Amino acid sequence: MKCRVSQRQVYLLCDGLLPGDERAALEAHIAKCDRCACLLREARLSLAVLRSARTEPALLDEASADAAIARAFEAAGRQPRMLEFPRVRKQRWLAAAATVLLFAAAFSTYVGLHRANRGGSRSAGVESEPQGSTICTLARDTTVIFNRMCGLRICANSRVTLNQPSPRVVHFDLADGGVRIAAHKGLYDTISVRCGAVSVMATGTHFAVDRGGDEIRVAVAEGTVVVRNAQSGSRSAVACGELCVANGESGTMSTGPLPQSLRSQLAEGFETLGPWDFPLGLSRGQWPQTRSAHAQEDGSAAQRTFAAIRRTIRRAEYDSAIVALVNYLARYSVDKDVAWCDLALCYSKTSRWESALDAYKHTMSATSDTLVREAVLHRSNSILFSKLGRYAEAEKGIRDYLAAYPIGSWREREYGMLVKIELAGKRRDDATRTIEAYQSEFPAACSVEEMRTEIAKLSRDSDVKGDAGRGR
Amino acid sequence: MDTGPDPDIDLVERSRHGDASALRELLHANARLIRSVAARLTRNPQLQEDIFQEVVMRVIRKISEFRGNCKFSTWLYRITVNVTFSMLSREGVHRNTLELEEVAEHSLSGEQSIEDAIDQKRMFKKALSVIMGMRENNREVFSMFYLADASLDEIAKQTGKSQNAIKAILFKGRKLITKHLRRNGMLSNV
Repeated sequence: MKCRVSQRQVYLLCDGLLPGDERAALEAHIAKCDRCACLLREARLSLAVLRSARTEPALLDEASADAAIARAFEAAGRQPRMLEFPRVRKQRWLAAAATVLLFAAAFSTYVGLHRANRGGSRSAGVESEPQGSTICTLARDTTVIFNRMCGLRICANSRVTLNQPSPRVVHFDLADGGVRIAAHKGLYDTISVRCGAVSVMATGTHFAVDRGGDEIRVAVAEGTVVVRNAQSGSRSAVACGELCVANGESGTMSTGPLPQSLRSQLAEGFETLGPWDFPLGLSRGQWPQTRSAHAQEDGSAAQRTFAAIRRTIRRAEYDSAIVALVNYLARYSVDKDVAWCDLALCYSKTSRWESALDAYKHTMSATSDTLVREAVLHRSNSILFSKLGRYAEAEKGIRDYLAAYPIGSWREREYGMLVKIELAGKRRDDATRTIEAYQSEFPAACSVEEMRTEIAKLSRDSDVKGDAGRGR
Repeated sequence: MDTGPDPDIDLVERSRHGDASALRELLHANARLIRSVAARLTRNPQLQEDIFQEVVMRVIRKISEFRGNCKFSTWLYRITVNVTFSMLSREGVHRNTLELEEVAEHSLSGEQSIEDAIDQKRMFKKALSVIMGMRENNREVFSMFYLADASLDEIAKQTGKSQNAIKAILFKGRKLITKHLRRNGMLSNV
């Protein structure tokens, strides 16, 4: 007799979801039917797998859980509407209006800051104090990268205090001391901070990085940031109200509650952003003016146009942005490098890789900013390698990068690409040399082993081919 | 799962109306539940702590939106499962490393042999990756039933789905997991 019981019924029986009478009938059937008995065994085994995790003991003890609850309440206390104003249906329109206003305020702040930096009103932008957030670092050999493209590298033993509320950063290379940077909150771009062996990445958040000896302390005042220790390869998500202490030497990382002293220091920096001290005697008016001269030419019209283009990019309307950027480049002479860079971004977003490459070449010729040049070279290499497959050109670009930027931010990735190119070309010796250089520079990098395995595989393959050739 | 009246009903009501001390008490009373669900899905202590912190933050933010149409614990299960999966997908299942020493210790204390314990862990890891590949709504229902021990009735109340729809989701998920386990030769002894 053909069995008409469905697999679904067997699974329901196994999960105890079949009503009593059906269950009895099916059990009687299974006792006689091999197919259904096998199905039931399979179902029971997979259920046992799913239920096996039940016995796992919790690794988080009660004390840590209690501390986490306390921390969460403290963090919530800084945002009183969470508890004090439970949402009432009738007032939803009010909440919607408030949200719109908040967004409008945030956006106008961003545009204001951007304009202040782009045009002749740069000093006005500085004087009006950033209404957004702050990144503070009191560390040496630190790189802060804004908007993925622009950054500030602080040389060892330098002391700088900046109050530049814009992603366009003025470069300093001064002797003696530490650094403190004020920058606006990244609305949609990631801000990353690299401090010795530790890097921090965050979007739209408040955090501070501080370094003493090998220890790098990351304090988070809003949101969550990811801290990565290149020494050990470990990553940790540091939540609001927490302090992560990462050791660049030993590779260890530990997270705990933020001490009260640091908390108030952070809050002060973020909320009031009062007058900063200028240890080098630089007053605000004396800050290096890298852009003000040419920015005054046809400033206001260019500013307006550029703000509109940025809005278009933010709405992800890349085709319209490309047309607008091409027109902008033909018409204005202000900030051409930024426009070329944005154009390259739009081309990349629409997968027009050749055009993106061309736009990056123009960016290179339009800018003298070392960090922008570094980022553009890296991006061009990535496009040549992963999108266009032009390995010879990519290899040349990578070698240029490695030679030109001995402490560049993307060296690890450049090495990775170079090894892959060499392996693809079956240049075993070159690949081994590159890996050795890579390993000496990044001793804790976990991809070294994978690379070595690839080389070993390549050697085996060539040996096998050699044997086969000799056999013939 | 117990289907009786919600023991937390009084605390929940007070919390919904902005009583912070009630919410604190509620969270302390249910902390074990969050910890145990997180422990089932990840063996990484750091990740478990992250999950716990994120769940608590989410409860504080969303308690005023809790409609009370199901038990607080079911709602908490749902949040924990969603937070855990979102963290796992961000961090990668590889952070759930198979701790051989832990398996050995575990099996010595129980009746299972070390080989069986390791096999079971491997199978669970595979099942977890299949669950992570499910559509978000289905994953939520599936995990609440099998990993967080929520009853069919509770899931129906929480998600607004009919019991038949839930049964269909559970069956599809089980079939998928069995298929993957079979394909990887993990059900060869059936």
